[in-house]
Amino acid sequence: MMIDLHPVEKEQVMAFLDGELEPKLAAQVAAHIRGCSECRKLQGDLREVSSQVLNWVVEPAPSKLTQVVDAEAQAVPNGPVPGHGKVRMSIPLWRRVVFSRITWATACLVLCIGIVLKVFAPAHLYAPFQDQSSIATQRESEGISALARVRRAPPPNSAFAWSTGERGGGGNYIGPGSNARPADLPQDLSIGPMIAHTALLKVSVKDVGVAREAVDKIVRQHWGYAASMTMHSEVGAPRTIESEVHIPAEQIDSALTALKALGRVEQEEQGGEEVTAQVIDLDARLKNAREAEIRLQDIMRTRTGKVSDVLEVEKVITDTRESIERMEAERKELRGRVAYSSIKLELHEEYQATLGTGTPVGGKIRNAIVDGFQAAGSGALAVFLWLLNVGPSLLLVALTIFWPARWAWRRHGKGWREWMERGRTPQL
Amino acid sequence: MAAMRRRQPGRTRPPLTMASDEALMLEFQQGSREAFAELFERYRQAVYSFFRRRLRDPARAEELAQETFLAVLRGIHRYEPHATFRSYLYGIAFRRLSSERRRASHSTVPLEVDPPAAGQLDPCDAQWVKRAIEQLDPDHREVLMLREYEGLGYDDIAALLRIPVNTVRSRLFRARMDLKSQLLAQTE
Repeated sequence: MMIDLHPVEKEQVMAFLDGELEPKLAAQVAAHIRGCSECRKLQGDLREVSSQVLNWVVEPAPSKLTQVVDAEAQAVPNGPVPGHGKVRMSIPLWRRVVFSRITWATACLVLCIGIVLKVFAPAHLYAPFQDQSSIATQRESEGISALARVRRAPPPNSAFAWSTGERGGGGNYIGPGSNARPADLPQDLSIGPMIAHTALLKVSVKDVGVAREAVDKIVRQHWGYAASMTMHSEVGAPRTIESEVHIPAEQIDSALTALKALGRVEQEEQGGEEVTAQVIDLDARLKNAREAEIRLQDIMRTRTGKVSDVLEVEKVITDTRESIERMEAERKELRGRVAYSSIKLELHEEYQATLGTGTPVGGKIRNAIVDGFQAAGSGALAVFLWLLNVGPSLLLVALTIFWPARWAWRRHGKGWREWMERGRTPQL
Repeated sequence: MAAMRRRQPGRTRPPLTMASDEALMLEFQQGSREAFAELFERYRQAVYSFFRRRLRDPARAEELAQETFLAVLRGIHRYEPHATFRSYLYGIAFRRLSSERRRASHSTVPLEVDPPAAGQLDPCDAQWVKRAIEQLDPDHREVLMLREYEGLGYDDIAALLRIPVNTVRSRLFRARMDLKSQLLAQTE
């Protein structure tokens, strides 16, 4: 590796000849040239090159050029330019800002950042900007959920208690609802909220058959009933039972305790839905519908009129009666949900592998191949859908960046390449 | 230009031929057509030569020279004497030339010179100079021509081409060294 120990760079000699050096540095370079034969030779070469270049002389400009410019100059008014009395004219600020490349570049950058944040940023970044109303709604819903999660047993003297042991479509309901007296509703409200309780229980048992009999016994002991029961018994897999049982609300704790004693509890969930508002609303609507029905029947009894009017009143009475019956059924269903808690029970038999009952090796290989192809297809589809989802945004970003990048590369690209090639910037 | 050179009566001014380019532009902003006439006389041939050396078609070079001066006329209210009038004028001319080149082709067009004549050329001949310059790198060539023919300083060239001054100096040095090599090869 050769190190140039020459005190003056060649380009400095050239700049000296061109008169582009500061006076102090020019004096130093001139002194050096006087004592350096190499630089004197370079000086002579540069002068000769400049001399040779000047041999390229262009023919005189055509006279037509003068005529055209002269004619245009005559059109200029012979006085100060209107609106520009000052010597220094300035472009309006708004034009400088609007047409500034920096402005456009900044706008493009902000647009890109916005798109990228919108498409790729995690949702928690937007949390501080959420609408206050949505936050309030969220908190409200969270509050309701929390309220529903807190399961409250009806008070012992609940007016909404069912007569135990007579559950069914015609269960005897004891309470103000049975008499359909909406006037009593304020008294109902004093007893507390009406909660429809639910529970999910997954239990691992040793023997499903024994556990099933135990479940039936527990349901009977607690005056409940089984709404559904499904048993799965597949080859090579443990037997399972999926059941939904309904237990009177006041006995759900003891029933759950008994069910959990069947085996090892794998999962337990309890929840509740408050239906107080629905019941009150339903009772109010039912009261209005019944009063309307009574008024219509009075009209039918006391008034006379055209046949068409009578038929019209009868039709309205029929519709009102249908509405009343529908609301009564709905109210009964709601009160049933409150009185009887729903328990979804899943019983899994502890698996014990047996010889000769598994899937053959060929079948396993086939299943693995099929699963592999399905996974590959699903993955390709997921990638395709992802591209469809973010592709337009990426394309917009690319189009937005392309023109500023192209402008910057055209303006500075060659200078950057030269600077990289030289490895350093010469300093005078 | 005779009409433009009529002096306004009742006003005594120093001879316009002794005024600087920038002073003439300011005079022209105040409405002096004579100032513009003087500027035109100073740069008519230079601007025409600027285009003529870079374009093959003399008619097109003349048109672009016209457009350059007309742009000065029409943009007189925007002129601000921040830099020399020379760099201002050649800035307009260079933008016209760039537009012309973009219109003709979307890439850098090589220097348009006449086809080289057969046989040996004399280095003192303009044809040899054309051929030698034509063989330079386009970027180096532009810097060399702006310096040698238009007489622009390093700073003006840097501002015109929008490149650093050091890049101007290095390109100019390389262009001159390349020309020297060609000159030596021709004479040996």
